[in-house]
Amino acid sequence: MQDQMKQAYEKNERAIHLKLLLFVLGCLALFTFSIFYLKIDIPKFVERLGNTPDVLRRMAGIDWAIVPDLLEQTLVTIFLVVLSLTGTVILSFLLSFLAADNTAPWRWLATLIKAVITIIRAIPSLILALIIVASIGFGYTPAIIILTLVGVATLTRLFIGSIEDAGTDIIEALDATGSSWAGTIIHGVFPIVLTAFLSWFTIQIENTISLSISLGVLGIQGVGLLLSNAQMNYQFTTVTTIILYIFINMFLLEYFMQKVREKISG
Amino acid sequence: MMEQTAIFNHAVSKEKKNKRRAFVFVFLWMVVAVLGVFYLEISIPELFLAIPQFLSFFATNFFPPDFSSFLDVLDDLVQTIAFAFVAMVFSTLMSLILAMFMAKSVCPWKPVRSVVRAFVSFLRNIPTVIWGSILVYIFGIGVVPGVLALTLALTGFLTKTYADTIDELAGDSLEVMEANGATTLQKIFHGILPAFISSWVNWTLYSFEIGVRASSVLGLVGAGGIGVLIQTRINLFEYQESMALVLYIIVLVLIVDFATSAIRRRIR
Repeated sequence: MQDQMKQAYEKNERAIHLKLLLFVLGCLALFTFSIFYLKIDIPKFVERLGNTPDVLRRMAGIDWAIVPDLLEQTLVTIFLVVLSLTGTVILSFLLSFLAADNTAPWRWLATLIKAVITIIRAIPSLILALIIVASIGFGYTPAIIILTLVGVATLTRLFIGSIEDAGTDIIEALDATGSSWAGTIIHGVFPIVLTAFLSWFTIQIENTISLSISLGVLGIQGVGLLLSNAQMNYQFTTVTTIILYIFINMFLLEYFMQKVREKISG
Repeated sequence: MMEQTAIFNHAVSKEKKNKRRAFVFVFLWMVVAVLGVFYLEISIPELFLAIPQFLSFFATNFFPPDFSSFLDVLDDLVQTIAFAFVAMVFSTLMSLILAMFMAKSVCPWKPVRSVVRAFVSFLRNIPTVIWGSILVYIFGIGVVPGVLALTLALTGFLTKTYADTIDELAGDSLEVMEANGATTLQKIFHGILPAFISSWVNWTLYSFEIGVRASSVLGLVGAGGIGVLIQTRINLFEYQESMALVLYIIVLVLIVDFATSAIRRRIR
């Protein structure tokens, strides 16, 4: 009997190994195809690589003159992020409870919300930004709309995940006491998901700031715009300065948010 | 009795402290928000009107989508996937190697771990598009900077994930195996490897998804792919053509989503 089980186990393991082998081989095949398809010009790349020390040398240096602008744009970014996150959190909070399987009052609405969110999330955020800018122009208001829209799609999805994880027990329990829908949500589900929601919120802060920097590349606002301008004017050291600045900020942000997250769940 | 009261009081005051903190936080947030409205000179009515304005412009100008350019665009679509794939393979290899130097359970030398951690953090914290524009700046426009940018960004993400997974897995199963008297080789092959592989497949497929979405955007900084096509169409006011392209991307992303879920299920 034990021999049979052992054989079945080994057969299963071999099947998995085979599938894995196929997967890796498939990847290698696609990889080779892709390399050829992209016509990656290795000689030309190596030639450009030779330029690198020269470029890096020109880039070595800090341009202190740009610091005031950087600080101002950072302030702009903070304001944009705070304003858009306010809208994002409120909307996501409402939508997620309306759309989660266990708390949705109307099935059709839940499906609709989930569908719209999936579609918005399928569009890369910068492409969405392009569309919005084409429709309502450049400026701070469109930037906020972009950040809020992307934020709502992402955050709602995260919230829904946590709500559905909470299960149906507490809901059934509260329903049995005759509680209203809002009451069940506020007193039953919300306390359970609060910790998770706060963690998602900190992640969304990081995402939004990252997105707002990328928006600069489109010429919209923020630190990314300074980078883009510096590049177009071939101001090498300025570029380096901005890159370092972005990195330091994102690094500190990530560090700080991690600490906050530990405190939330601690 | 006194002890119980003390514990109870401590718990209550902790809750009060948390509530107070929450209030302070929300208050400060509101202050910043109001300051922001004034500093950025945002008009609130305009803000609320912007959404219907956007939707109506979008509905009238971007629809119906013009699919006539499909065959021309097919090349770029395939290019987008090829990009993501190449970057995924490169970054998987690099990440596996780097993760070995970053995982606490595999690499006992703290200085090495810290250096790798800092480097990987540098890769990860710079947004992909910024990487793209930096590399295009150094290497010029073309396919290679795009692939490089994607690889660097993905490596940043994957290395940390791999290292965390290795550390997580190392803890539990190793103890169990040691308790059962397994040799080191057995521990690696039957303990860590199987669990790691399924995680690895999972994260690698996810990074491919990220790669497809990022590569469509990298075109905006000249690194190739479909992003630049969309931007050009929009700049030429050819909204309906651009909408078709956006729909292609959506379909592409959804297909990749399904494919990776299917693969994930079959590997299990």
